[in-house]
Amino acid sequence: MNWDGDKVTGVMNPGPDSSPLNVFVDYSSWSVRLDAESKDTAGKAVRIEAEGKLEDIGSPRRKLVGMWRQADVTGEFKVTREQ
Amino acid sequence: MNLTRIQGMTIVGLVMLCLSTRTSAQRSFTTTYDSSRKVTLEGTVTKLDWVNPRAFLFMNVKDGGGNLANWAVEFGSPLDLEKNGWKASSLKIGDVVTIEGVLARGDARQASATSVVLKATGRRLFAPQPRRPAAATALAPRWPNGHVRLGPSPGGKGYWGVPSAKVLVENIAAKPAMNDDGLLANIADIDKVAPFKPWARALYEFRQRNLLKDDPIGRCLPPGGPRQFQMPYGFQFVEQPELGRILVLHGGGNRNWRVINTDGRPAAAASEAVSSYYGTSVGKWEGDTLVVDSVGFTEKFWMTAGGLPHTEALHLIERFTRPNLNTLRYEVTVDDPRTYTRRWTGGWTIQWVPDEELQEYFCEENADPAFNR
Repeated sequence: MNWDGDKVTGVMNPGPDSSPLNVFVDYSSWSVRLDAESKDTAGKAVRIEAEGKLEDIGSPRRKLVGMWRQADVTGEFKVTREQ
Repeated sequence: MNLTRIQGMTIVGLVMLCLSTRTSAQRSFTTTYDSSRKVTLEGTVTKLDWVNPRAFLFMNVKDGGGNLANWAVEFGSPLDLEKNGWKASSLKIGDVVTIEGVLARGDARQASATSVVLKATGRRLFAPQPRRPAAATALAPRWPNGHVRLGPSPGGKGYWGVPSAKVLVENIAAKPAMNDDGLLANIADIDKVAPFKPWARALYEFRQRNLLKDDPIGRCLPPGGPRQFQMPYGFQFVEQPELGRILVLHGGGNRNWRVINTDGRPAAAASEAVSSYYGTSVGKWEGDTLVVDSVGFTEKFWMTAGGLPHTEALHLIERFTRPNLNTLRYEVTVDDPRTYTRRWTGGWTIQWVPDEELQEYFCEENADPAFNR
């Protein structure tokens, strides 16, 4: 992913089957939404979504915590900044 | 408990010490203390913690209900106190004192003293005095090649120590009101501080509403960027033309230093610089002004009190001019296209403190070990 101060852009699954990643950030609530269109192993289109919230905003080791969904599969995620 | 006047006192000793709470030595005044909550305390001194950079006395105080409690009272840097005639022996355990000051935030029994009066004699032991800037009369000293010296005259000593502003804001006509820690008097004035991008404005507001408690200075991290020229214990230039560099020694920045290369090398490329607190700096003289170009900053510091954000794209252009012996003019242009909608400039002057050296200052000395680095 890349951030220019205004927009976050990115690529999911870099390589021959990559797809662009859409990222939306709401600074009023520090919430983040990511989505991308991809294909499953059968070549069927599948949408992947994740929604989370930035936590510990004041810390250099701030986190993005939330839930992801691919078709009917969901899960939790937490990403912590290390550097 | 009546906090406006707590009278009466019995010596109990040290048994109550465990009840008092101290916060970090390095947190900003705003984070630790609430200036709107004035307090007068009268009690007996139970302990003196004469540790640089912040001295504390502990005293037993009886509240309105007759209950004794031990209070921690911060009363300044021992080195500054010594300059004003205070010695470690000026106050003894068992002395009864009256403290005027402000209360710590929250429920901690802690105060910051604005005066300490010995009850037995009525003698005022301590009242902080603002340093008077020296008059701007003499010419700036120069090197044989004609360049202005940024340090002392040959054979002299001194350092830069009295900034005219404690906070960096954009040079515009309507400056926002804020305290010395950079806390805005009115949060609606955010847009007068700098031309923020939306995320940066939101983060700055978060830091302000959080009373600056996430300030990296509170974790004893270095004051990178313009903040190094606003710290309480000043700074000094050590010019080494034979080595093609100028060192900036920091009195208040944990007694560390920054290097400004003046050997003619080109300005560094931000994409190739290793991120650091003071960045990679290249300086050159334009007439009597030293112009310093710096890139390669980590995001882990606040470049001024108050919480101005920046990214690793930060590029600073600093201009140092010494119009006379006692004045240094500092101007900085902030260029961070990820954080601000345009380049912007701020600045202030710093006064020379003659005939003195930078004093010792190590934040970790009495910092709160509970801080999570």
